[in-house]
Amino acid sequence: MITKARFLATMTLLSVGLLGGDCVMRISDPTDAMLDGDLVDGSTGRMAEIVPGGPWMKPGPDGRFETTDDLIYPNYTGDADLVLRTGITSLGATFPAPVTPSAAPVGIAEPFGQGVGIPFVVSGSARSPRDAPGPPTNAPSLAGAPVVVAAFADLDRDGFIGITDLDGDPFDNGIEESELDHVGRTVAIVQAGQASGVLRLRAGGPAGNPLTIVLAAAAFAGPLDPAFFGGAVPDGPMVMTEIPFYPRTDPADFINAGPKGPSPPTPGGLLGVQIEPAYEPRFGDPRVGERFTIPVDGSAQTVSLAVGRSGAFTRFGLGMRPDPATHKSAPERPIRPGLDDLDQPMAYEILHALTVADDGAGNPTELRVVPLDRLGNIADIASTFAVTVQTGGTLQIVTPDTDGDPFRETVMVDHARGTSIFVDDGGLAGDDASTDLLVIDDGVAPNAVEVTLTFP
Amino acid sequence: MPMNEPPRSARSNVRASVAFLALLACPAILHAGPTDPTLVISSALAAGAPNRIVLVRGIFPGSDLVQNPYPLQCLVHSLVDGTAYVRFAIADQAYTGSDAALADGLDAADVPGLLAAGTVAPDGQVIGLRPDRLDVVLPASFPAGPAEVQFFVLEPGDTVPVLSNPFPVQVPLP
Repeated sequence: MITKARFLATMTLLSVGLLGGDCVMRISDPTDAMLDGDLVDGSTGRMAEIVPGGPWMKPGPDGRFETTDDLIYPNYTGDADLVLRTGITSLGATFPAPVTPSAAPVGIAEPFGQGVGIPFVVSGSARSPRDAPGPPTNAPSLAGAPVVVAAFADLDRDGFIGITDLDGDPFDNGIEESELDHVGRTVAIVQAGQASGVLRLRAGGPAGNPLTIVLAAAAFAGPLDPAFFGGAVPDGPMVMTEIPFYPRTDPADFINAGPKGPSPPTPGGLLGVQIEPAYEPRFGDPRVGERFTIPVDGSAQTVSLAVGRSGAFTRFGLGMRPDPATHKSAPERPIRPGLDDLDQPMAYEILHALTVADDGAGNPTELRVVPLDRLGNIADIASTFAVTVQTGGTLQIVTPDTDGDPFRETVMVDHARGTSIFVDDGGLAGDDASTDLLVIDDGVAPNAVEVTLTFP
Repeated sequence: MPMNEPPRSARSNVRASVAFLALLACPAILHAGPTDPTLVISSALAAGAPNRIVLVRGIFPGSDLVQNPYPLQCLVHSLVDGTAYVRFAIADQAYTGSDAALADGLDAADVPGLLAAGTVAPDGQVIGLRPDRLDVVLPASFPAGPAEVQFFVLEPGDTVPVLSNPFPVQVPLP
């Protein structure tokens, strides 16, 4: 294991450039093929943390990304520092090609470690471009380092992870933003240059629309110092595979622990890490373009594919087809794959809460009564269920109406595609209570969706 | 027609606000160790009949619970007689019982006794887990009326549990 002093000593000057007043250097360290040649920010003396293929980015004087003083250098591109492969747990002398979609390992989404996980292995890559990584290297700066592995899903089935126009649709960015929330993450420790493990997913789709997933990784590279997070996290820069955004790289943001660091990992213990965007790609910015977008056809070389299937059916819930033009991504508004009436793939927002305009009768909202697994994914079912949907007496179920009761309806659901209902406020605009509750019950396990009625 | 909810950019502010309120409401969090979880309940709602569900929203290690059977507990404690409870060992089973120590609310000293007591309630179960929401089905025997919901965890090897704030909920008749 290298020491901090040695680590800093190896950062010798290879070349110098000036970029907008910043001094740029490169690491020269023949003993660490992963970091050798990587860019050093001359203003801080620390290695530049760049997503493979992405531009060099700095938050600017205010210390925060997504503000007007962001510094983005498109001519400096991140190389392949970390490479991940799915379906295997060890590497030989070379990285095998990423799995193709048809050969991707399948995970099943269940909680409490009960799901079928995705095997993976991660290693440092000798200096190489994003599109041709390798070979694997036993990087001394990664010895004993925890590697965070996260899964990202192609929720809108457009063939890409991330906010993109490569799908030909410039109006679905709100849905695509949901793809920046991981659908599973775990930690593996580097031993002999490789970190392997199994990642369990919290998202998946039914048989007719399984979820395509990419596994990515990030780690801090450097010496383990007892004075730095208790010696559990290397004191050095973050290295990464491709990631669909620029992540938070400050260890204090990344690690859920105080200055003493996280406790030693224990079976069933907390992982204590977050992987979240510091900068969400805006393709309106030509300095960034589509450089964070990850295709899910197997062509991305530093990451690898998996398939997510939903878990066992437990109860029913409500889905709503998101409006691509108005949907706002948020953790409490998960998008999950389902099916339309013709069994074609369709993304639904699984409702935790619903907001309806108190604008008088007319203009109803279509909802879908869908079978769910324990993690809120649309699940397959093998028989027909009678599902009762009931409101608290304000929101009305206008279609179907087989019993003359506008506040209660029983519908039959026999497939993952679910069954449509239409709800609306009644009467006139502004005449309703401001809240209501939709209860969905198959007689075994109920579900509920809170409703807010707003007067425009 | 569906309306928009707060944009993603508001998330961090919302999270920070919830966490700040939690720190005010739950002194146990201030004394938590370096990897102790943050446990906060921001809302709780009970609905349904005859099968009753409690939807608990807040901050808890939901993502970790996908990977591991973390020993998080969710206690629903009836305020009708002050002692009846159902304890959901999130990754395991539900247990019902009565504990006089709960009459003044759940505190750290009550936890070891609670974890060792109770009768398995097959009709109580965790029915849904999302990063910010836990849904549980109450056993049929649980009394209707006012109750409190509270998270707690005692990790293996630890002697001091971490408790969330209690949150009131009105349990409907079965």
